[in-house]
Amino acid sequence: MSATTASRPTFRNLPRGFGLVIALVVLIVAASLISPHFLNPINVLNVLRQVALYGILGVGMTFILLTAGIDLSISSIVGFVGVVAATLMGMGYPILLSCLLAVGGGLIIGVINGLGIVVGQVPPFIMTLGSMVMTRGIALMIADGSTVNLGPRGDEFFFLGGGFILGVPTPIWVFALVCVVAFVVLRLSPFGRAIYAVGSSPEAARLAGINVGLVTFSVYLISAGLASLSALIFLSRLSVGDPNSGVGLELEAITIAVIGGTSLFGGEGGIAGTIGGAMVLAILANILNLAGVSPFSQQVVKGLIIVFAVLLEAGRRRRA
Amino acid sequence: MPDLPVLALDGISKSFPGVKALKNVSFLLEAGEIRALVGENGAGKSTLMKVLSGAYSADAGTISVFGKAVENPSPATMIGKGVAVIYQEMAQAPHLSVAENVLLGRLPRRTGGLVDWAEARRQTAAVLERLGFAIDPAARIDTLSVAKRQMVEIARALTRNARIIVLDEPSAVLAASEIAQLFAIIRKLSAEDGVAFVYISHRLVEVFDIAETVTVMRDGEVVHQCRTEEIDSETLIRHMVGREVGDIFPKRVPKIGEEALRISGLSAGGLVEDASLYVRRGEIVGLFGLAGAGRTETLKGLFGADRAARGTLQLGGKIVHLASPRDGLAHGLGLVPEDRKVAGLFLKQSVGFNITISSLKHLMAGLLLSRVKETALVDTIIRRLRVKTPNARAAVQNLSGGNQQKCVIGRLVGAECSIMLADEPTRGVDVGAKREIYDLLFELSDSRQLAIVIASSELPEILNLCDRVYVMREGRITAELDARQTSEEEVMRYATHN
Repeated sequence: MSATTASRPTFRNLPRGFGLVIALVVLIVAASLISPHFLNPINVLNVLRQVALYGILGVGMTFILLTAGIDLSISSIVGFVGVVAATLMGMGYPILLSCLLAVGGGLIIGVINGLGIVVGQVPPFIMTLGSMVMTRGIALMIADGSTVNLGPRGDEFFFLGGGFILGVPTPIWVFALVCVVAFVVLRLSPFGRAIYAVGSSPEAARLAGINVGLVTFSVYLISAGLASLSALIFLSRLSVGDPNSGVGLELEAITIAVIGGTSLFGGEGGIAGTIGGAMVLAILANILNLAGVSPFSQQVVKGLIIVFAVLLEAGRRRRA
Repeated sequence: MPDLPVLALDGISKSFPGVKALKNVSFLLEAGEIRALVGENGAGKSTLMKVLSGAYSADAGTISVFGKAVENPSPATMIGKGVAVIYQEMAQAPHLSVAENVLLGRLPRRTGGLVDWAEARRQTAAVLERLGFAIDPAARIDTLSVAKRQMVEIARALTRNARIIVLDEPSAVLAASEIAQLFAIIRKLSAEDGVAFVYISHRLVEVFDIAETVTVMRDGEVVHQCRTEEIDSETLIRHMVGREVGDIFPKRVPKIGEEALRISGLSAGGLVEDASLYVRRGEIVGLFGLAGAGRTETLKGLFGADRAARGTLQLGGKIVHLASPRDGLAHGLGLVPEDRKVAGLFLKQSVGFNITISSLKHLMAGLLLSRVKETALVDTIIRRLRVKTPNARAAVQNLSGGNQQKCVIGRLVGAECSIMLADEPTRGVDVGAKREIYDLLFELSDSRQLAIVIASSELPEILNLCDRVYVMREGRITAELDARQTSEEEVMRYATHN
């Protein structure tokens, strides 16, 4: 029994999230070697726009996962809110009113999720699976199975998803704002602490005076709200309300959060990691596109990356 | 003792980053020997056990079984060599049968590869019978009591021809009669089959009852080894803590003030009926009862943690209704829950997080938390309660049981509770840390005029710590006694049927 576990403190003591930073650096270096176009400003903005589009959903999912929950319904909320907003705009309602009403619709789905999970004690996976299917159905009903035109307001509305402020695409500004607010809420507000507490131990949280039901309800509302927001951005970029838009985005959001180091078992993780996770996925997709890899193979690579990311994290925890 | 030792540890050392968990640990175990391994939490007992089971590999030193050094120990090789470690949290498959658990991984097969269930049950029944224990091999594990599950673990070890069985605090979850049963089996296996035991326990009474030899560990080192008849418990404790503990219970003269809490006609938890009690400021009141008497239910009912609880609660003379723990805290009540790891702590979070979580509203600067105020509160609590932690950001799960409990108590101090309800506050805490918690409760009671209710199943704790004692039996309060006038016998009389 000689020194079989000669200590490797340098590796063990790495701060959380270090692997993510390394992965990002490696990806960026690799990408710039693979394609000279990668560091082209237009391409960089494109990548960042992807980061923003999926990152907003990732932020919502981070709130959910921190409480040890899950929200599968966000993909359908994207489709549903988009169709509602498109329909209202097509009927001639002002852009802002249409958006507010549509977001309100998305929040109703969040309320249903929250009530089912908190009051009905339905497991989050089942509850949001149900509302995912139901919401997609409603979107298809409203659109009658086809796409919905925005009408004359579409050009003006395009600003949200396709416009620029100070040379930077609007969605990136929106994402930055969402991240700052989310970061501050999670790190510096009692509500943020309560989220981590509920995710660590609901019973300890209850006995420590936290309103566990209210906290849980709130994160489903936040998730639905952020899904509604990204629905509007998607709608603006596509310029057409598609009841089938957003399919599979819930997995994208979970992937982003998990790559970012947020635990599926609650209580661990945060927004910084989620931003990193969104960047890893977006850069990866960009590299594969630039390298001309087929979309089908891209899926295989993405799947492998997810497993690899979680393996790395699990390894870190075993060592710790 | 002419025989070769069945187990010899020689110079075992093991380090983790920043900690030397084991330093040059050596001891021998003869065939049929029952050796107690004692030491405070953090003394290195569990690390040593994991080295023995092959879960950790030592940095230096050798393990020899029957005189042969074990090369590259792994869990599989250690089991193969006849070493079985039975942990407190038993590694069982709760939905499978007793037979399946006993023979897990080695179920007998028929020709063709299908499991021979009749043979499996027969083998299981045989080994259980050898243990003198009546358990149905077909019963599902999760229908058994903890005591019986432990027997199943021992049975499993025996079917693997274990010659050395390491038991990690087996009695912590057992009732007195079950402990007697466990001891009978240990003695039988040791005398008839020569199985050697390493018995890890906090309870020194048991150490003297069951063990022939004792090894004391402190700070990762073996500090004393001897035969149990050569030592008394005072000396043993001194070796464990490395200093004179004297009387483990501090003395004090209570300064009793106004009535802080009074409940009449409490019913709670589907068990407690018509319970009435009161506690005054600066007073420590004990709530004694055997398992299932309703202590925990009473405390939860007082705290607002039991929605179905009924009764009239007065705080400082005013009638209040508490609908939730949140309400309780807002009225100055605090609960130290019985199950520290699940209900008391947020194990994944930091020491600071655990301390401040109930007092965040005092730590605001405008809409957000003030890092400055937060750090100030956490530092004050860590210093006042003498929480041993590298810093406030350390994960609370890396602290010892006693220091974890101080974090829970510190949370209530930070939240400025005036009434503390403590449910088994020293459970799973070692001797030295117990004394520190007692001192802390006294200090809080004296300096802050805290009213304290302690629910406990440990009689010495109740009688020495408290000013007044309520005794519970089957959900009812059967007596109110002056802790200084009464005796263990009198309290037990009220706690049991006689």
